[in-house]
Amino acid sequence: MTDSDRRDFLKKAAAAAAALGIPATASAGREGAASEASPVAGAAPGSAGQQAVATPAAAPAETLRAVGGAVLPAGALGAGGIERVVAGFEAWIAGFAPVAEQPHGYLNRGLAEIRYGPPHPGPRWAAQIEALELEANRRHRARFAELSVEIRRALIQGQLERDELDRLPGPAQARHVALGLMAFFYDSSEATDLCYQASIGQFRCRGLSTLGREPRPRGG
Amino acid sequence: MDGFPRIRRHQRSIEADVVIIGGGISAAMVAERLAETTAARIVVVEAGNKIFNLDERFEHRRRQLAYGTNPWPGDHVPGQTGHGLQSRSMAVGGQALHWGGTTPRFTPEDFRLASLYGIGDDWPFDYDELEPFYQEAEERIGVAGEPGPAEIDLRRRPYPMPAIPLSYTLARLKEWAQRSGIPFWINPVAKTSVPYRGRNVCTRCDTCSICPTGAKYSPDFTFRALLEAGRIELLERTLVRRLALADGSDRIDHAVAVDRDAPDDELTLRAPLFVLAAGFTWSPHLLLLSANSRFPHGLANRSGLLGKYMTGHSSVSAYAEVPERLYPGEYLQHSLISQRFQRPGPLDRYVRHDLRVWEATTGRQPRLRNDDGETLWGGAVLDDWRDRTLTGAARLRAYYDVLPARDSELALNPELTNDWGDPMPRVTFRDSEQSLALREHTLTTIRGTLSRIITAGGGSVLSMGDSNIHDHPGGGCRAGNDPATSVVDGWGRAHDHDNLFVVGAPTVVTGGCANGTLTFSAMSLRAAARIAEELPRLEQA
Repeated sequence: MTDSDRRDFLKKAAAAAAALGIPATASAGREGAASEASPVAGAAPGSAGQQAVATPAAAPAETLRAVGGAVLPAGALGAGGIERVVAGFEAWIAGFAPVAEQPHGYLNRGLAEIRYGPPHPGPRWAAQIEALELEANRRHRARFAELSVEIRRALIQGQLERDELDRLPGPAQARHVALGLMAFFYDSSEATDLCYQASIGQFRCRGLSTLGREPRPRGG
Repeated sequence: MDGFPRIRRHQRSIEADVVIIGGGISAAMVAERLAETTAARIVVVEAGNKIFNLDERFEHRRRQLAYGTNPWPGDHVPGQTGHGLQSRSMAVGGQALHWGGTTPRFTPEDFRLASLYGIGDDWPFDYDELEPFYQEAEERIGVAGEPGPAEIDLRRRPYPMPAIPLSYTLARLKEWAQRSGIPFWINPVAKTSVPYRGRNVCTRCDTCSICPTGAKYSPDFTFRALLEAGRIELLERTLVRRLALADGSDRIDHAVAVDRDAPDDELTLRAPLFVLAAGFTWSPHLLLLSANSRFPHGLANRSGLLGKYMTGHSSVSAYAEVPERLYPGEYLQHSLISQRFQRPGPLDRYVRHDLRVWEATTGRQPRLRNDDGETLWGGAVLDDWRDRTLTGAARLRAYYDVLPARDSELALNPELTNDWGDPMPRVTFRDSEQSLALREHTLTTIRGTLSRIITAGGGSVLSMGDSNIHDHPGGGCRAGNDPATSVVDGWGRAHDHDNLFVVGAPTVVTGGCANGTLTFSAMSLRAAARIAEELPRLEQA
């Protein structure tokens, strides 16, 4: 990597990190390792898609969208759905306030201390995005976004090995960016409506007039 | 600080006809009633901030939903804490800023446990005496509800507003639960089903702890209206640290307070009447802090019962699978109630409890691993989630009353002090021997009832558990007719100080088996009716 390449990458990474609302990390790219399999969706080994990924200057924003394509229900979300959810997730990250005061719980026992939320997950997630990109490059000589959905999932799963996967955490508690993105989506009113295939509109201020009726079919 | 020059303090004194200490719902009820029925100069003193920010609540709600943050920033006083508190909230509006708005009445049995069942103690007044004040509280707060069966629900007049309608899901759950033969009806709430006294109609935002539209009652509305009408003076961010007696008298002469914005100044509040409306923690706490040579164990404490008989109710909860397609998320905060077992009639062995039913998502949340242990990605997560929502779920809960032990107490904890060096409270709830002896019978009976409801509807129990947390706590300034066994009389007047009233939660005898806020409010209004008799009348103004 030349100095010019490195400056270009750091500039892009910083811009992407800013889009994520996180501090730019020392996310310098590294030369990839040899490919182990045919990594690119729909591409044969040695195809142009594989050859085009020698540069590590993949933007985290692109990688995050590729993560979304691997872990979110693309078919159910419809055209533009992944982009919409990922953009919402980026806005969520941008608005995150670290160590924010939590609601006062019903305590009744022990000292009634004020509780505070977690630190900003952004730096950790940014490092994971970078790691996905690096691993894609080293294993498959491709950008993460160019890999098939199955291989992207395998790379994500590899990073999640030590995570408890039985239930989704809250977005801010997610140790991995893929879990954070999934938690963000499945927390949403849209996800509930997709699941029930009905216009429930959870947490939308929506009046009492329709309260007694069975929710309309979604989109109906 | 020896060797340092003493800081010259400003002294400030405020005089009023009545000083109300505390800014929660009980204070709001008293202040509003006195403002309407007397010509008194009323000063309300609240240690916390004034959070009159209705226009900001959508944004605070949005952040709570998105990030889980406190939707009431600045709603506590740093350092003003203790062991056993239920909440740190301390602001104009009190804990009723973020309450759920549930407003059932207690039933006649709650006030006559000793007479009817031979356990615990009777209250110094009965349901009939409190009933007009229940109605008044419901009207001031703005309660939407429907009456229960006449043999159970003894209300004499309609609710001020029709009930919030049942959601489709809750209507299905009502049918399901009533297959047990137990009647359920819509839980009454302090939320608007129709336009009411300038408040917006509920839009079921379903975040009642921060109602962004003002459809849910919170006491800040009352204080704001009283301020705009010029009927009260509100001293927010002002912590009362002591009550002081008049020389040679047991009457309260003045309160010593600290203005948190001018902490080096001395602030004295003088009035012929003082109303302590600072909740179950800070009311007995202030009286304990105010100990002097004549009352070495705290004001209003000749009985030795100040800070004793702290009470509340405990609960048994169950989650059930319901064999119907339901749509949780329609209105999670809305619920059904049954008071059937609060009015059980004669009993071989005592047990009383309420019943509530809510929609639930138990076992029906999205997950990342299926029952075979396979990790799910993409559309498989949604498919798995859908498969598990073909049937519904319900949450059931019963509050049962626990009888407090004498040493269920609030005491000063010298090991924990606030910024002004005052010892903070330590609350230790203890059930009476009678209550402990009944506990297994109580739990067994309630578990049986919950199981019966669930199975009668063709459902199955997903989980069941009990909590010994004392919810909706009260006590510490127990009301009674006998000065030897109580702190205040039936009107809240301290037996030991005839110009001091304590109102609301601290004065309850037992915690009942239903949410307590409406009862605290009704008792406060009843006290206010008596307090008004000692204040300048309107026609004298």
